[in-house]
Amino acid sequence: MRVFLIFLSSLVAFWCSGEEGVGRMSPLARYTFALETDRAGVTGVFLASEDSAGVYGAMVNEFGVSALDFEYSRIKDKVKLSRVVPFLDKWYIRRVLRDDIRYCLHVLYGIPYGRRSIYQTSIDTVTGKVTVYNPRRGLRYTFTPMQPTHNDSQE
Amino acid sequence: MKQILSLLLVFAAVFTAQAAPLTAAQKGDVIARINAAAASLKTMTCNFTQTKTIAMLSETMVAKGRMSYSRPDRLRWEYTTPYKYLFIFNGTKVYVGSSSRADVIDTNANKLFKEVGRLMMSTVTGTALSDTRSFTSDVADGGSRWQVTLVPKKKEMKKMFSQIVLHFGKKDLMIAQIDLYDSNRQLTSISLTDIQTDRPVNESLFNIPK
Repeated sequence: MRVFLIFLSSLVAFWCSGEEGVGRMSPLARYTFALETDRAGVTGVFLASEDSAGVYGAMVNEFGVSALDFEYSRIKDKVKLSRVVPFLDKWYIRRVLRDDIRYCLHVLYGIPYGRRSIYQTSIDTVTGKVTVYNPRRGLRYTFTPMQPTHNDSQE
Repeated sequence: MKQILSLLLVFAAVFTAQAAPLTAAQKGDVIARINAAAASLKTMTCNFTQTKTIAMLSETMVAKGRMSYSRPDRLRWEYTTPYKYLFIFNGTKVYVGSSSRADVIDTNANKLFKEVGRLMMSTVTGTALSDTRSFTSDVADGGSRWQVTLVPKKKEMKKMFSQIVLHFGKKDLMIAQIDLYDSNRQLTSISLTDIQTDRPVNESLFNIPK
Protein backbone atom coordinates (compact mmCIF):
# COMPACT_ATOMS: atom_id res chain seq x y z
CA MET A 1 0.00 0.00 0.00
CA ARG A 2 2.82 2.40 0.88
CA VAL A 3 4.51 1.74 -2.45
CA PHE A 4 1.21 2.35 -4.20
CA LEU A 5 0.74 5.69 -2.43
CA ILE A 6 4.29 6.77 -3.27
CA PHE A 7 3.64 5.80 -6.88
CA LEU A 8 0.39 7.80 -6.87
CA SER A 9 2.01 10.89 -5.36
CA SER A 10 4.90 10.77 -7.83
CA LEU A 11 2.39 10.45 -10.65
CA VAL A 12 0.52 13.52 -9.41
CA ALA A 13 3.79 15.40 -8.96
CA PHE A 14 4.78 14.56 -12.54
CA TRP A 15 1.47 15.77 -13.96
CA CYS A 16 1.47 18.92 -11.92
CA SER A 17 5.06 19.87 -12.65
CA GLY A 18 5.79 22.63 -15.13
CA GLU A 19 7.22 21.68 -18.51
CA GLU A 20 10.61 23.32 -18.28
CA GLY A 21 10.19 26.63 -16.56
CA VAL A 22 13.11 28.06 -14.68
CA GLY A 23 12.93 28.69 -10.95
CA ARG A 24 13.20 32.41 -11.31
CA MET A 25 14.20 34.76 -8.54
CA SER A 26 13.33 38.19 -9.86
CA PRO A 27 9.85 39.40 -10.75
CA LEU A 28 9.03 39.17 -14.41
CA ALA A 29 9.99 42.22 -16.47
CA ARG A 30 7.50 43.02 -19.22
CA TYR A 31 8.13 45.32 -22.13
CA THR A 32 6.39 46.00 -25.39
CA PHE A 33 9.06 45.84 -28.03
CA ALA A 34 9.51 46.93 -31.61
CA LEU A 35 12.15 45.60 -33.97
CA GLU A 36 12.43 47.89 -36.97
CA THR A 37 14.41 48.51 -40.09
CA ASP A 38 14.01 51.59 -42.29
CA ARG A 39 11.36 49.81 -44.33
CA ALA A 40 9.55 47.41 -42.02
CA GLY A 41 9.10 46.33 -38.45
CA VAL A 42 7.51 43.93 -36.03
CA THR A 43 6.14 44.54 -32.57
CA GLY A 44 5.32 42.32 -29.63
CA VAL A 45 5.91 41.62 -25.97
CA PHE A 46 9.29 40.93 -24.37
CA LEU A 47 9.23 39.00 -21.09
CA ALA A 48 12.33 38.32 -19.01
CA SER A 49 13.37 37.18 -15.57
CA GLU A 50 16.81 36.98 -13.99
CA ASP A 51 18.64 35.03 -11.35
CA SER A 52 22.27 34.87 -10.29
CA ALA A 53 23.17 32.67 -13.28
CA GLY A 54 21.53 34.67 -16.02
CA VAL A 55 18.48 36.14 -17.68
CA TYR A 56 15.71 34.07 -19.25
CA GLY A 57 12.94 35.26 -21.47
CA ALA A 58 10.73 35.12 -24.50
CA MET A 59 9.62 37.35 -27.34
CA VAL A 60 5.99 36.91 -28.35
CA ASN A 61 3.86 38.82 -30.81
CA GLU A 62 0.60 40.43 -29.72
CA PHE A 63 -1.44 37.48 -30.99
CA GLY A 64 0.53 35.17 -28.73
CA VAL A 65 2.71 33.63 -31.42
CA SER A 66 6.17 32.97 -29.96
CA ALA A 67 9.07 34.42 -31.91
CA LEU A 68 11.80 32.92 -29.74
CA ASP A 69 12.94 32.04 -26.22
CA PHE A 70 16.37 33.00 -24.95
CA GLU A 71 18.76 32.23 -22.09
CA TYR A 72 21.62 34.57 -21.20
CA SER A 73 24.52 33.15 -19.17
CA ARG A 74 26.36 35.68 -17.00
CA ILE A 75 29.46 33.46 -16.79
CA LYS A 76 29.75 32.81 -20.52
CA ASP A 77 28.30 36.20 -21.50
CA LYS A 78 26.40 34.41 -24.23
CA VAL A 79 22.81 34.17 -25.37
CA LYS A 80 21.31 30.84 -26.38
CA LEU A 81 18.18 30.92 -28.51
CA SER A 82 15.52 28.23 -28.55
CA ARG A 83 12.06 27.70 -30.05
CA VAL A 84 12.86 30.17 -32.81
CA VAL A 85 9.91 30.70 -35.13
CA PRO A 86 10.67 29.07 -38.52
CA PHE A 87 10.89 32.29 -40.54
CA LEU A 88 13.63 33.59 -38.20
CA ASP A 89 15.33 30.24 -37.82
CA LYS A 90 18.22 30.84 -40.23
CA TRP A 91 21.82 30.70 -38.99
CA TYR A 92 22.62 34.26 -40.13
CA ILE A 93 19.50 35.70 -38.48
CA ARG A 94 20.10 33.74 -35.27
CA ARG A 95 23.67 35.10 -35.10
CA VAL A 96 22.52 38.71 -35.36
CA LEU A 97 19.68 38.17 -32.88
CA ARG A 98 21.99 36.45 -30.36
CA ASP A 99 24.45 39.36 -30.42
CA ASP A 100 21.78 42.05 -30.39
CA ILE A 101 19.72 40.47 -27.61
CA ARG A 102 22.89 40.05 -25.53
CA TYR A 103 23.62 43.75 -25.84
CA CYS A 104 19.99 44.68 -25.13
CA LEU A 105 20.05 42.57 -21.95
CA HIS A 106 23.25 44.33 -20.84
CA VAL A 107 21.40 47.63 -21.18
CA LEU A 108 18.08 46.49 -19.69
CA TYR A 109 19.70 44.78 -16.69
CA GLY A 110 22.61 47.18 -16.22
CA ILE A 111 25.19 44.46 -16.83
CA PRO A 112 28.61 45.95 -17.70
CA TYR A 113 29.43 45.32 -21.37
CA GLY A 114 33.06 44.25 -21.57
CA ARG A 115 33.33 44.35 -25.35
CA ARG A 116 33.79 47.06 -27.95
CA SER A 117 30.26 48.14 -28.78
CA ILE A 118 28.93 49.10 -32.20
CA TYR A 119 25.52 49.90 -30.76
CA GLN A 120 23.89 53.26 -30.19
CA THR A 121 21.74 53.40 -27.08
CA SER A 122 19.24 55.88 -25.70
CA ILE A 123 17.29 55.64 -22.46
CA ASP A 124 14.29 57.79 -21.61
CA THR A 125 14.60 58.23 -17.86
CA VAL A 126 10.97 59.35 -17.52
CA THR A 127 9.22 56.49 -19.36
CA GLY A 128 11.99 53.91 -19.01
CA LYS A 129 11.91 53.39 -22.78
CA VAL A 130 15.16 51.90 -24.08
CA THR A 131 16.25 52.14 -27.72
CA VAL A 132 19.17 50.17 -29.11
CA TYR A 133 20.34 50.70 -32.70
CA ASN A 134 22.59 48.31 -34.58
CA PRO A 135 24.09 50.53 -37.32
CA ARG A 136 25.79 47.61 -39.06
CA ARG A 137 22.46 45.89 -39.74
CA GLY A 138 20.18 48.92 -39.61
CA LEU A 139 18.11 47.32 -36.84
CA ARG A 140 16.39 49.35 -34.14
CA TYR A 141 15.13 47.68 -30.96
CA THR A 142 12.73 49.61 -28.73
CA PHE A 143 11.65 48.37 -25.29
CA THR A 144 8.88 50.18 -23.42
CA PRO A 145 8.01 48.99 -19.89
CA MET A 146 4.44 47.73 -19.65
CA GLN A 147 2.25 49.02 -16.88
CA PRO A 148 1.39 46.36 -14.28
CA THR A 149 -2.20 45.13 -14.58
CA HIS A 150 -4.52 43.13 -12.35
CA ASN A 151 -3.40 40.04 -14.32
CA ASP A 152 -0.02 40.35 -12.65
CA SER A 153 -1.56 39.51 -9.31
CA GLN A 154 -2.54 36.08 -10.65
CA GLU A 155 1.09 34.98 -10.80
CA MET B 1 -8.78 1.30 1.03
CA LYS B 2 -12.19 2.24 -0.40
CA GLN B 3 -11.30 5.93 -0.08
CA ILE B 4 -7.99 5.45 -1.86
CA LEU B 5 -9.69 3.60 -4.70
CA SER B 6 -12.25 6.40 -5.00
CA LEU B 7 -9.43 8.91 -5.07
CA LEU B 8 -7.67 6.91 -7.74
CA LEU B 9 -10.84 6.78 -9.82
CA VAL B 10 -11.22 10.57 -9.54
CA PHE B 11 -7.61 11.07 -10.64
CA ALA B 12 -8.07 8.65 -13.50
CA ALA B 13 -11.23 10.45 -14.61
CA VAL B 14 -9.57 13.86 -14.48
CA PHE B 15 -6.36 12.90 -16.22
CA THR B 16 -7.89 10.72 -18.88
CA ALA B 17 -10.75 13.12 -19.69
CA GLN B 18 -10.54 13.70 -23.44
CA ALA B 19 -12.92 14.63 -26.21
CA ALA B 20 -14.83 11.58 -27.37
CA PRO B 21 -14.40 10.57 -31.02
CA LEU B 22 -17.38 10.61 -33.39
CA THR B 23 -18.33 8.43 -36.33
CA ALA B 24 -17.81 9.79 -39.85
CA ALA B 25 -21.56 10.38 -40.21
CA GLN B 26 -21.73 12.26 -36.90
CA LYS B 27 -18.72 14.41 -37.88
CA GLY B 28 -20.34 15.25 -41.19
CA ASP B 29 -23.53 16.22 -39.43
CA VAL B 30 -21.77 18.47 -36.88
CA ILE B 31 -19.68 20.18 -39.57
CA ALA B 32 -22.77 20.74 -41.73
CA ARG B 33 -24.63 22.32 -38.80
CA ILE B 34 -21.70 24.58 -37.84
CA ASN B 35 -21.23 25.55 -41.50
CA ALA B 36 -24.92 26.44 -41.78
CA ALA B 37 -24.70 28.62 -38.67
CA ALA B 38 -21.52 30.29 -39.98
CA ALA B 39 -23.06 30.91 -43.41
CA SER B 40 -26.02 32.75 -41.92
CA LEU B 41 -23.85 34.93 -39.67
CA LYS B 42 -23.98 38.58 -40.75
CA THR B 43 -22.25 40.40 -37.90
CA MET B 44 -20.61 39.43 -34.64
CA THR B 45 -19.12 41.35 -31.74
CA CYS B 46 -17.59 39.96 -28.56
CA ASN B 47 -14.96 40.42 -25.88
CA PHE B 48 -11.99 38.09 -25.86
CA THR B 49 -9.41 36.92 -23.36
CA GLN B 50 -6.15 35.58 -24.76
CA THR B 51 -4.01 33.35 -22.56
CA LYS B 52 -0.53 32.41 -23.63
CA THR B 53 1.55 29.90 -21.69
CA ILE B 54 5.27 30.57 -21.84
CA ALA B 55 7.04 27.35 -20.89
CA MET B 56 10.46 28.98 -20.57
CA LEU B 57 9.23 31.20 -17.74
CA SER B 58 6.43 28.97 -16.40
CA GLU B 59 4.37 32.05 -17.01
CA THR B 60 0.92 32.87 -18.31
CA MET B 61 0.41 36.05 -20.30
CA VAL B 62 -3.16 37.34 -20.38
CA ALA B 63 -4.40 39.95 -22.85
CA LYS B 64 -7.95 41.21 -23.33
CA GLY B 65 -9.80 43.06 -26.00
CA ARG B 66 -12.77 43.34 -28.31
CA MET B 67 -13.60 41.85 -31.69
CA SER B 68 -16.05 42.99 -34.37
CA TYR B 69 -16.90 41.17 -37.58
CA SER B 70 -19.09 42.20 -40.49
CA ARG B 71 -19.83 39.97 -43.45
CA PRO B 72 -18.28 39.24 -45.86
CA ASP B 73 -14.72 40.21 -45.01
CA ARG B 74 -14.40 42.89 -42.35
CA LEU B 75 -12.72 42.19 -39.03
CA ARG B 76 -11.53 44.40 -36.20
CA TRP B 77 -9.43 42.72 -33.51
CA GLU B 78 -8.40 45.15 -30.77
CA TYR B 79 -6.30 44.47 -27.68
CA THR B 80 -7.02 46.91 -24.90
CA THR B 81 -5.07 45.50 -21.96
CA PRO B 82 -2.24 45.09 -20.98
CA TYR B 83 -1.14 46.56 -24.32
CA LYS B 84 -2.84 48.47 -27.11
CA TYR B 85 -2.80 46.75 -30.46
CA LEU B 86 -5.23 47.03 -33.32
CA PHE B 87 -5.68 44.71 -36.29
CA ILE B 88 -8.19 45.62 -39.00
CA PHE B 89 -8.86 43.54 -42.09
CA ASN B 90 -11.22 45.00 -44.64
CA GLY B 91 -10.80 42.70 -47.58
CA THR B 92 -8.12 44.55 -49.49
CA LYS B 93 -6.08 46.10 -46.70
CA VAL B 94 -4.73 45.08 -43.31
CA TYR B 95 -3.93 47.66 -40.63
CA VAL B 96 -1.69 46.70 -37.73
CA GLY B 97 -1.05 49.39 -35.16
CA SER B 98 0.61 49.35 -31.77
CA SER B 99 1.76 52.11 -29.45
CA SER B 100 5.09 52.25 -31.29
CA ARG B 101 4.24 51.82 -34.98
CA ALA B 102 1.43 51.42 -37.49
CA ASP B 103 1.47 49.66 -40.85
CA VAL B 104 -1.04 49.35 -43.64
CA ILE B 105 -0.53 46.32 -45.84
CA ASP B 106 -2.10 45.74 -49.23
CA THR B 107 -3.31 42.14 -49.06
CA ASN B 108 -3.00 41.76 -52.82
CA ALA B 109 0.74 42.38 -52.49
CA ASN B 110 1.26 40.44 -49.26
CA LYS B 111 -0.27 36.98 -49.29
CA LEU B 112 0.78 36.17 -45.73
CA PHE B 113 -1.29 39.00 -44.25
CA LYS B 114 -4.19 38.05 -46.47
CA GLU B 115 -3.94 34.51 -45.10
CA VAL B 116 -3.70 35.77 -41.50
CA GLY B 117 -6.76 37.99 -41.98
CA ARG B 118 -8.71 35.18 -43.59
CA LEU B 119 -7.62 32.75 -40.89
CA MET B 120 -8.77 35.06 -38.10
CA MET B 121 -12.14 35.62 -39.75
CA SER B 122 -12.72 32.02 -40.69
CA THR B 123 -11.87 30.72 -37.22
CA VAL B 124 -14.01 33.31 -35.47
CA THR B 125 -17.00 32.70 -37.71
CA GLY B 126 -16.51 28.97 -38.13
CA THR B 127 -16.14 29.00 -41.92
CA ALA B 128 -12.65 27.49 -41.58
CA LEU B 129 -14.30 24.09 -41.30
CA SER B 130 -15.36 24.16 -44.93
CA ASP B 131 -11.98 25.47 -46.14
CA THR B 132 -10.65 22.09 -47.24
CA ARG B 133 -7.90 23.72 -49.32
CA SER B 134 -6.35 25.22 -46.20
CA PHE B 135 -7.06 22.67 -43.47
CA THR B 136 -7.74 19.06 -42.70
CA SER B 137 -10.37 18.91 -40.00
CA ASP B 138 -11.54 16.49 -37.35
CA VAL B 139 -14.44 16.73 -34.91
CA ALA B 140 -14.79 15.35 -31.40
CA ASP B 141 -17.38 15.53 -28.67
CA GLY B 142 -16.00 17.73 -25.88
CA GLY B 143 -18.97 17.47 -23.51
CA SER B 144 -20.87 20.75 -23.71
CA ARG B 145 -18.91 21.75 -26.83
CA TRP B 146 -17.89 20.39 -30.19
CA GLN B 147 -14.14 20.37 -30.63
CA VAL B 148 -12.93 20.87 -34.18
CA THR B 149 -9.23 20.32 -34.82
CA LEU B 150 -7.81 22.01 -37.89
CA VAL B 151 -4.37 21.12 -39.23
CA PRO B 152 -3.00 23.64 -41.74
CA LYS B 153 -2.11 22.38 -45.21
CA LYS B 154 -0.46 25.51 -46.58
CA LYS B 155 3.28 25.95 -46.11
CA GLU B 156 3.14 29.52 -44.80
CA MET B 157 0.43 28.67 -42.27
CA LYS B 158 2.28 25.55 -41.13
CA LYS B 159 5.22 27.77 -40.18
CA MET B 160 2.96 29.63 -37.75
CA PHE B 161 0.60 26.97 -36.42
CA SER B 162 0.84 23.21 -36.04
CA GLN B 163 -2.86 22.94 -35.25
CA ILE B 164 -5.91 25.00 -34.29
CA VAL B 165 -8.69 23.68 -32.08
CA LEU B 166 -12.06 25.42 -32.28
CA HIS B 167 -14.64 24.91 -29.53
CA PHE B 168 -18.27 25.46 -30.55
CA GLY B 169 -21.22 25.57 -28.16
CA LYS B 170 -23.52 22.61 -28.84
CA LYS B 171 -26.66 24.66 -28.38
CA ASP B 172 -25.93 27.81 -30.36
CA LEU B 173 -23.13 26.39 -32.59
CA MET B 174 -21.18 29.59 -31.91
CA ILE B 175 -17.45 29.67 -31.40
CA ALA B 176 -16.56 29.87 -27.71
CA GLN B 177 -12.82 29.22 -27.65
CA ILE B 178 -9.90 29.05 -30.07
CA ASP B 179 -6.74 27.12 -29.15
CA LEU B 180 -3.74 27.93 -31.32
CA TYR B 181 -0.72 25.63 -31.15
CA ASP B 182 2.32 27.30 -32.70
CA SER B 183 5.08 25.51 -34.57
CA ASN B 184 6.77 24.73 -31.23
CA ARG B 185 3.51 23.26 -29.82
CA GLN B 186 3.09 26.18 -27.41
CA LEU B 187 -0.54 27.02 -26.73
CA THR B 188 -2.36 30.33 -27.08
CA SER B 189 -5.97 30.06 -25.98
CA ILE B 190 -8.59 32.70 -26.86
CA SER B 191 -11.96 32.57 -25.15
CA LEU B 192 -14.82 34.66 -26.51
CA THR B 193 -17.48 36.12 -24.22
CA ASP B 194 -20.50 38.44 -24.47
CA ILE B 195 -21.03 37.35 -28.06
CA GLN B 196 -23.67 39.28 -29.97
CA THR B 197 -24.65 38.25 -33.48
CA ASP B 198 -26.56 39.84 -36.33
CA ARG B 199 -26.87 43.20 -34.67
CA PRO B 200 -25.94 46.45 -36.43
CA VAL B 201 -22.19 47.14 -36.27
CA ASN B 202 -20.73 50.59 -36.83
CA GLU B 203 -18.99 50.12 -40.19
CA SER B 204 -16.53 52.92 -39.40
CA LEU B 205 -14.86 50.46 -37.01
CA PHE B 206 -13.38 48.81 -40.09
CA ASN B 207 -11.96 52.00 -41.59
CA ILE B 208 -8.19 52.09 -41.82
CA PRO B 209 -6.93 54.80 -39.40
CA LYS B 210 -4.98 57.66 -41.02
